[in-house]
Amino acid sequence: MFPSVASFAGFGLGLRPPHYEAILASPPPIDFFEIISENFMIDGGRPLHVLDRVRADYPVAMHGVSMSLGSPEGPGPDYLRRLHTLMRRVDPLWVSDHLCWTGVNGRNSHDLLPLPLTEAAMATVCRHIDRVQTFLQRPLLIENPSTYVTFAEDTYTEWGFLTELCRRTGCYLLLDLNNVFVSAHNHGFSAQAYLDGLPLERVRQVHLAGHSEGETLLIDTHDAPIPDGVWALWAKVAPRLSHAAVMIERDDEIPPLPELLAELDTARRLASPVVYV
Amino acid sequence: MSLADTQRDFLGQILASPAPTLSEGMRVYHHAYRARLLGAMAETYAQVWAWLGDETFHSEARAYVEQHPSTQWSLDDYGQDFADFLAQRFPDDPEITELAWMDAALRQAFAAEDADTLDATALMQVSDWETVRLILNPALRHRSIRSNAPALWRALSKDETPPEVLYFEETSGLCVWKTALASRFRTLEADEYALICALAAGQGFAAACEGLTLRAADSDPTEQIGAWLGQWLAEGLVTGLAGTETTS
Repeated sequence: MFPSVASFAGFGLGLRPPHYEAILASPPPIDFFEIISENFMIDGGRPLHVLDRVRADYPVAMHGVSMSLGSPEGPGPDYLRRLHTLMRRVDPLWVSDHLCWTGVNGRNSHDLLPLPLTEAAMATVCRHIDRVQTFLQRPLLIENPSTYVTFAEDTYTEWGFLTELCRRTGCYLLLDLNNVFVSAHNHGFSAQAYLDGLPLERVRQVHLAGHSEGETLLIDTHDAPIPDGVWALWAKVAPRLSHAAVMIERDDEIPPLPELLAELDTARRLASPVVYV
Repeated sequence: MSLADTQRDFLGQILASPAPTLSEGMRVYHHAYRARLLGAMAETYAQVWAWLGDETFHSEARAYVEQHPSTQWSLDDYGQDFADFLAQRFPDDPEITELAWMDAALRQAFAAEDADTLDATALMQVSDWETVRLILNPALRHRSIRSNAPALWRALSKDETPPEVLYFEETSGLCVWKTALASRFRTLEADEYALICALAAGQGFAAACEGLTLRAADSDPTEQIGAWLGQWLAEGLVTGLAGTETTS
């Protein structure tokens, strides 16, 4: 068996190209950075040099979007080899990806597509998590996705599915509160019931992010400030997640670094116990 | 229905064009697929976009996306055939496909393996020029061109008014590579390009030189090749020597 994933309590940000210069010029007062693994699974170039310099000053978490744990094929050998090479370079806090599939039959959607929450999907995802964990010799963190459809054949709730995944594979969780908020709205379940149903002691990282509004659905666009509803969820669950690493996830319409640092301050403040004087 | 069948059906609905009647949720996925691939292409093909203009570029990129489902896990690798696609669409405008090739090659070079430049004194240590091989920059990409696409690309990348497009009788070579983490490019006249092609194909230095017939009959081949070699070292096009013992 591989070692467990140690807790790391802190507040961090995603490492994104528009901030490279600012970060190198003046390292911000945060506890860790998260990288999108695929952006650094390359042979050379400036991003890897920036990453090495950042890693010299900060712990780094690796977060992937292409592992496709829910597709029949799962991740291919080239993907895993490159992920492993990056992991050895970074020595990350942990390696994470999503409960989803990205493609089938050699076609890739580059999206985090929803899984039918069935025993067949459970068997497929467990098989691939086992394979990846054995290859990397470490447990993965699995993130809950935002989804826009559900399947009639579902036999699990999403939180029940994630709980069972942890039990069967020994994986941990990356809890995206925006995704809980979005999916709860889209599918009419209670975000609180979702959080109450998860083994929060398995959560090692929390994502806070914003979304946009479709016709009737909420859409996980990661291009907006964190809205009140997500802040409210965080304020409520934060006391039970004091062991986790928390970060603002912003992938589009990326604002200047000080704006994200201010949002991170809000996350810190909401997580602090109220002091009455 | 098996999980794989469900997923094939699901992805089929996403890839279908024109879009079938879909639920709001499926429309989100249908739209996101195209937005993501078009976004990747807009990022890669910035100078082709500037050259073609918004309407034509988006129309061509949309047509490309519908005809070319993604087969790679890396979004950065998507759209590699766009230059060939544009060559079919605009057969009388070679500068368009050459600009597209440059956009893609410069991006690939940026993420390619890094290499240190080679000091010119390394040449003095070569003991056997018959067997020596030149190791070219690992980021090197090259093709022949027949327009002034490099000049167009340079102007477009600086938001300057591009020069008039020119087509040449004789093709020349265009090399893209990387030094000090920055992608760069240069046009090579036909003889120099022929030698680079031979070296890139794996020929030893002596064999590649022997196969070269200089078009300028009055030039001294040894002198000319020596000058090129010096330039290749200085600009990082050659990054190593192999296949020979070097004297210490």
